Amino acid sequence: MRITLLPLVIIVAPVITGLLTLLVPWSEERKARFSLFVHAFLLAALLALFPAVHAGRSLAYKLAPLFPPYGLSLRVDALSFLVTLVVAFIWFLSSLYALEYMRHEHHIARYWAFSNFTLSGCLGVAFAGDLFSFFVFFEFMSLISYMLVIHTETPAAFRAGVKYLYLGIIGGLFLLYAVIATYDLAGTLAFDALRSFTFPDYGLYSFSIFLSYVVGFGIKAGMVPLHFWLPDAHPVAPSPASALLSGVLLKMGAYGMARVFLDVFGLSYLATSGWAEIVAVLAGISIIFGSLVAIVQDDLKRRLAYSSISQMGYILLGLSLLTPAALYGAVLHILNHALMKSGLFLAAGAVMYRTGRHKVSELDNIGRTMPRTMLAFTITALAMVGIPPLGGFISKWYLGLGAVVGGRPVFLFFLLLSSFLNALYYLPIVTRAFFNRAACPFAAFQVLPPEEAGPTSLGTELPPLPPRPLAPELPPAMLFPIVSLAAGTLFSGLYPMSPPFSLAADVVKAYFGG
Amino acid sequence: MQRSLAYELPLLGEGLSFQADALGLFFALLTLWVWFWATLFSFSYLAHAHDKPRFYTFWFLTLAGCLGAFLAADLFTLYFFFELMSLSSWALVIHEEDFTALSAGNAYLYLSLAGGLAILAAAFLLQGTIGTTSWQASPPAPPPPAGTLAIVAALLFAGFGLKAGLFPLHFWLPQTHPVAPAPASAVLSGILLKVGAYGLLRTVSLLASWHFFLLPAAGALLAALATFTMLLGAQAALRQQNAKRLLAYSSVSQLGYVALGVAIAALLGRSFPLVWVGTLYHTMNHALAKSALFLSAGALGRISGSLELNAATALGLKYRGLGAAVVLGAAAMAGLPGLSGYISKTLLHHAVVAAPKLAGPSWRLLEPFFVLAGAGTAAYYLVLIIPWFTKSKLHVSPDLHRASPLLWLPPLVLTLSTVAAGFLPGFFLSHLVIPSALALLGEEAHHLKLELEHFHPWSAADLKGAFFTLALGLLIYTAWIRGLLPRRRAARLRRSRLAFAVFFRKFAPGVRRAFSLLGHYGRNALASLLLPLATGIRKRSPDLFAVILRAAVSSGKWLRSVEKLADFFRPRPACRPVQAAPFSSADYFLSLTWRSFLAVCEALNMIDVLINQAGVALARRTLAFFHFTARIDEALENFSTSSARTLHSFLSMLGHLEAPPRPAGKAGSRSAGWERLLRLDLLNLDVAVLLLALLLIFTLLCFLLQI
Repeated sequence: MRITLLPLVIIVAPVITGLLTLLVPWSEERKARFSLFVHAFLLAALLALFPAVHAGRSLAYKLAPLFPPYGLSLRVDALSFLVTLVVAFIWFLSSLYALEYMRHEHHIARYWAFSNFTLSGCLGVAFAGDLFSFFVFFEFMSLISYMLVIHTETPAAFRAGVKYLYLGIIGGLFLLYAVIATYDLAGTLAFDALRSFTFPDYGLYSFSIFLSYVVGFGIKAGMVPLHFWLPDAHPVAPSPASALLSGVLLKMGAYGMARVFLDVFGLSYLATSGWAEIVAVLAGISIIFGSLVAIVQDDLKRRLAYSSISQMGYILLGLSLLTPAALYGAVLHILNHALMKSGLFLAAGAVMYRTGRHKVSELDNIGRTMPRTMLAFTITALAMVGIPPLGGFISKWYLGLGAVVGGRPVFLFFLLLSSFLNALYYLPIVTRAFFNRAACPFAAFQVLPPEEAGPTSLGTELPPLPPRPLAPELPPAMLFPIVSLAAGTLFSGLYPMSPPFSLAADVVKAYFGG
Repeated sequence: MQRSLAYELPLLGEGLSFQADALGLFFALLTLWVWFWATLFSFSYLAHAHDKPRFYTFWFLTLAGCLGAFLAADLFTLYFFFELMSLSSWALVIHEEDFTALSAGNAYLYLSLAGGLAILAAAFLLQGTIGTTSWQASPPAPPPPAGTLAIVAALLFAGFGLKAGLFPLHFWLPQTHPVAPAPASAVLSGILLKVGAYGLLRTVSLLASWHFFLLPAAGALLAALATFTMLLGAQAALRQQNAKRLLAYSSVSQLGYVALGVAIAALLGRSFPLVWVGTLYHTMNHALAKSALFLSAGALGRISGSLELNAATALGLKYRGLGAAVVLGAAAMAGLPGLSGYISKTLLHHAVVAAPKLAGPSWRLLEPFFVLAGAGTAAYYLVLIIPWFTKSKLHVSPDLHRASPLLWLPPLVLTLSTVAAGFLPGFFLSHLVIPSALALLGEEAHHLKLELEHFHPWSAADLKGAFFTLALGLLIYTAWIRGLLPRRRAARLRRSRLAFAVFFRKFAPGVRRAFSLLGHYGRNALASLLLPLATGIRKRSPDLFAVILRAAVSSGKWLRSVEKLADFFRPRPACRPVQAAPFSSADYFLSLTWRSFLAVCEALNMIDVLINQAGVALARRTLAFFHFTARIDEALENFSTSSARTLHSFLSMLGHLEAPPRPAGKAGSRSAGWERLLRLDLLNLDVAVLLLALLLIFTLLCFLLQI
């Protein structure tokens, strides 16, 4: 088999698996195992592509008979490979987790089928070689993932699902306009051709194209004025699906934005026209707004969803700063945020699975019952805050450097402020989980009258610890993804130049040279 | 050129680079020495503690953070270890997990993170402008543009000043240090504060090497803040009854000395190298003595079960080793000749005296404050040590058992090392302090050694100054503690005042409670009375409403003053109440800030919900609009049908047309209409005719009116 055929196989395999899952009368357990096996296979197949991509070869494949006269074209370069790697890796871990988690849910076969279809859509978006195929896969992904959002079939899920669906459609319409108009101007839709094509300046017309792209991808990426579907849709899905929605599907919006910025418009055009400023300012607002609102959320998954809004702001900011360091930081943050946020969602789901608690205020001493899970949660949360040896810090470092080198230190201030705010909403969870033996009603900076402030440091009057609960830790199939994601953030922080992360440097090299 | 070891670890992308020059090694040595004895102490102190594995994990992580921060070669690496240190020491602070520890730990955590972010921002700006964050690049890096450098300097001073507990950012310190277990308090106060001091020294050295033009101004500002910190810490420490809290305030005051040294160094630059030596010596003195004192306080807690100074009654006589440690440590801090505090304070005093000669006469103001702070130090250490050696009949000491040697030996060894540093200043200066000062001063400081030849610690003038300060301290102690304050014994009652006394004792609480209840209910009743009234009135005349509102507010004030009056009559205890919560105003401020911040977040959340609801409403409106257009469509169709029919019947009446077939009823109401439109059947031809006629009439009108 030629290696250029591999992307097609990678896209089609999940579709076939999904169809089999729907149609073949296997037991649900067997369907789940089969899907998991296919996801592992996809990860392996992707890794087989790695040497070719790292060597700088651009793998292209054209499937002419589909959608005449344009045809469906696939192409793999460093950026798309990096994104597919994220997709496949997170998907595999989430599926491994779901194998155990979904065992107690209803409609298991439906979950696996639509998980597979969504996976195919995500991979197709990343592998698309022209805007038309991109659009087709993007729409497929947005619409089919609706089934993951409403999987629990609660009224809240349906309410969130309606928003998700309609905003997906509206975003798709904006994208459709932009794609058609791009074809009108450039006469081609292939990314390679568009990259060498200098975008003509037709004033308002060109600007409307840019704006449509920004709206279309901004809805998907949860950029602030278009974010309002996100904090409803992500928490209502089952936890492995939330991890996918927040860790992977949001990245597709960012990936589309990156493709449009880098290939369609080109960096020099955006720099001269100054349109990227709009996205930069909106991203800055997202960063602060998401963090501020997350502080007062009591529902753990909702807090994580708002944190996603803030973190997607980092990625969009890095794209729109148009400096090599910022682009590097943004691409790294796509990777790091996927690792961190899916890890956090999986850990939150594990707590729900084991104890049924989903509010932050109910998490007293949870670290004593589930030490490994909460330790992984703590590490990932610290990575989110941007504490040095962890992954989040590295991408923030390059984003900040990009802001300083680009001559806009205001955004540096945004980044640092957001780090502080992240600490304000992640670390209280850690305190609650591990350091709350007294389990007193505890509010930050609450003032006691002087008579009640007890003796210091010899706290012998504390109640004894609750007995260790009998419930054991998570089953290994659930613990492994959480722990390995935490380990992944640690690894990406310590060795950001090693193979999977070095692709980010390849991306920067491809667009800035040198 | 000094020798230094450099090592680069290829982690974290940028790489962690370490450099062990004399200064870093000096601090690392100090750290390890204190840490060793504190660890030994912790074995007995934490013998029955909970979560020991967790404590020791974070204990050694904090050690790693401190050592890494001291041995880092650039700001990036320093930031990494700074964060490690802050987070893991936070776990030490909240180890007890009780309410006070958690709330103090929160302030500590978030302020440390903010300080760390300030340092990170400075690292960003340096890396972005000059491409390196190294302390000592060779060849030296060119300075960044002046504006950037000013921001970098401000950020670094803020970040390290926060860690060192400098005045506006000091309030976390007296809350945090007392709540930790004693070994942790010892290293928090002895070593972790020194990271801030170390950073300040490095910053000043770096800025001086770039000839930063605002450095003297920054020095002046820093000196003012440092002096204020010294005095503030001293006066707060004088009022403490809790051993650890007293020591924590003492740390605030002593770090003020260090910051003053840094400030004078910034002011005088490299022209007066003695001040660098003095600052470093004082750092060493404070690290050794303060950690010894905190360990002794921990031993007090372990032995007597309480940290109040009253509990220490006569303990120094029973446990001689502990008593010796406390006395020697306090004496070293107060600067008794023969101990290291004397050397360091004398060096700093020389710098303070030299400042007006080199930088202008207005610096003459500094010396009185310096002496006053020294006297305050002596006074509050008298407060600390006197109870250990007073026998009291009131306080019957419990059955004292033998203390484990690990409880008294480590503090004693640490204080003995201050004795060594006091008796052998020549050895310590030439082997430890001067090389590290040279590392800060760089190549230009050849004359430092010559200058130190002239420095003689035992000169008559210096000794006289030291004894003067100590005498002043004794005076303050006797005046403040023994004289001016109300005595602990209640004053004998005179018969004439007896009636009042009985009255107040008996009735004042009741009166007070009645007044406060009255005020409470009065306010509530007033509010319930006013509220409906106000809503009624507001509709009629807004001015009247404002008047009434103002009246309500003033009545509230009046009620408040009545309450205050009632409060005034509350019986007061004869002795001074123990101040339990330090800096309650700062606490209040923090809580207020936090609440208002949360309120802002809540408001944003509300906005988000509103956006959400607006989206839903918009969707509803859109749907309603669709319905509306559908209705318009229907109406138009009805209208067109009926008018066409009229026209048609009119035309057929004229005999021009055959009668049309009747439309097919209501069966396909809307879609049938659209179909008809598409098929262009006869009825729609009628509509077309009608439209054409209207157009014709319009054109005719236009034509007639000559528009």
